[in-house]
Amino acid sequence: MKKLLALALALAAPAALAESPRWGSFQFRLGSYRPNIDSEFPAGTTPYADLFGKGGTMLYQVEMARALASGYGTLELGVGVGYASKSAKGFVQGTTTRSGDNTSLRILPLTLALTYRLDLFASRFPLVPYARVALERYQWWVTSGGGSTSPGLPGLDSGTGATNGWSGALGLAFLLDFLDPTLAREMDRDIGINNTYLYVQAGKATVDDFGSRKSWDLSPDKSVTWSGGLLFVF
Amino acid sequence: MRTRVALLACLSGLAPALALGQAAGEVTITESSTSSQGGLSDRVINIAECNGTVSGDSVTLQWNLALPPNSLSAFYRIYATTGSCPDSGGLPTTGFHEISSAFQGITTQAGNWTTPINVRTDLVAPLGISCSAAATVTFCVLAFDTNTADAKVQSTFTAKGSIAVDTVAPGQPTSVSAASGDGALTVAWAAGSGTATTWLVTATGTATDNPTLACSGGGVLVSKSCSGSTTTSCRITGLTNDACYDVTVQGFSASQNPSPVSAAAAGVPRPMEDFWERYQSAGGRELGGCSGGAASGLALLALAALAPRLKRRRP
Repeated sequence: MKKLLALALALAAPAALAESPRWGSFQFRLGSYRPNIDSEFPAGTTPYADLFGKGGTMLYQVEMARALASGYGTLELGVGVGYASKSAKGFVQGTTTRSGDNTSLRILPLTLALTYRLDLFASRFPLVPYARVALERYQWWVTSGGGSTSPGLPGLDSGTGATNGWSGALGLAFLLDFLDPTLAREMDRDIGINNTYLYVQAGKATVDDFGSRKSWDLSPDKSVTWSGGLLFVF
Repeated sequence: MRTRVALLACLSGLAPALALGQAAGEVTITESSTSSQGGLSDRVINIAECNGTVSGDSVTLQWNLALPPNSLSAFYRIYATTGSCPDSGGLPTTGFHEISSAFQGITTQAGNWTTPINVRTDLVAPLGISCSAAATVTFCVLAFDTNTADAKVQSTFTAKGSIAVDTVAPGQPTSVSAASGDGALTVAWAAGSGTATTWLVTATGTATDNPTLACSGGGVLVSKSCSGSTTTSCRITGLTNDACYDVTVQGFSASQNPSPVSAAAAGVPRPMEDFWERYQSAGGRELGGCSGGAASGLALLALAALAPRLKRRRP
């Protein structure tokens, strides 16, 4: 009984220490991404796979969020930006022979996200579940041989645009402060970082201009995508 | 007592330096040639400058010596040597050549020799420098007392500076190939021996609409310089699609010493179909051409609000 009490007090100890005020959070996220562009075509027509193959590419994202409420967990509204790029040798026109020049699809996802983190008990139990929904706007452009934007076919628009959509995710964050509370307190005291989390999330995104028939589908080609990153609460 | 002895010993050690008063000064050397001439103003004499291929490559000298108060009746003499300026004073002991055709009277502590010293005729030839091996040319500036002239060199008032002779050229690039690009060729090669820091890629061809891999040579010439000691490919643009080009690569060392030109490889620029064009050719529904901007965020919010309605309208 005494041992249990001592353990409970030890776990409760970090919560008893004064923390700096919280403003919001900053995070880095990394995940695999392959746009579902070929889904609009009949079987056998796969312009994306023809050029770039079946593999995905890395999607890098950063996000800054402002805490809106923190009574029962933390509710945050954040903005984020990311980057993904896929390159390959183009085709010599009218052939299936690869050219010496590269062509790339580059995507800059812009995000407006609302996140709820159930961190009420984080100081005692280091696993924090969270949920987020977001509006997405993917700015994209396609480059041609010399790195300039593709001019497109004669009479059609050039290879640049933006596609809107939404996303949602459920995740689990591990409070790294739990591994070294002393270092965590020093980080708070020295640079104002209250907590540091390592997280993984399962997400779903639909980025096709909300079903527009004049838009391609930049949603991930998997129904559920996994990503992970580091979250700093400050 | 022991402390006083130590202090005296230290002071006695400083005495000669205090008496002589000066350490050797530094000669600042500026070089005149440019890269367009095959040289560089880099205080290094490369093979073109050494051989005299670069016309009129010259150096000028500047120095600063703190002279004794009563030395205004002195003058400078300037020597070039492949050896070194003797620390003990006096003239260089080996391979020296007097640069100054006339003495320069001393009026201030700072001195300069603004008459350009021709690298080929004033340094390389008189000093017997072989342009096939590395060497160093050192300039020794000596201050002489006017009254005693050559007989008494004021060795403690000597400035010196040096310029290197670097004639090492990189090896010939090999395995040159040219991959077709849109109005361009991506040229790849394997570096030869030594280190090249820049590469001159040249495409020579006939801009005709008759594609053939048997380039006739001659005709239009386009070149591009690519930098990087580890660079092994370069995209050369401004070419005509379906014309045939012979491409060659030549490496240059940091001192602009050129390698032999590589063997030629043939290449034919071809129009490229990029991803966007392939998507459009396949009948893709995305129109593109939408530009982002300050209103994009508001547009996104509006679209989100309309999303359920848009969904319902879909057939």
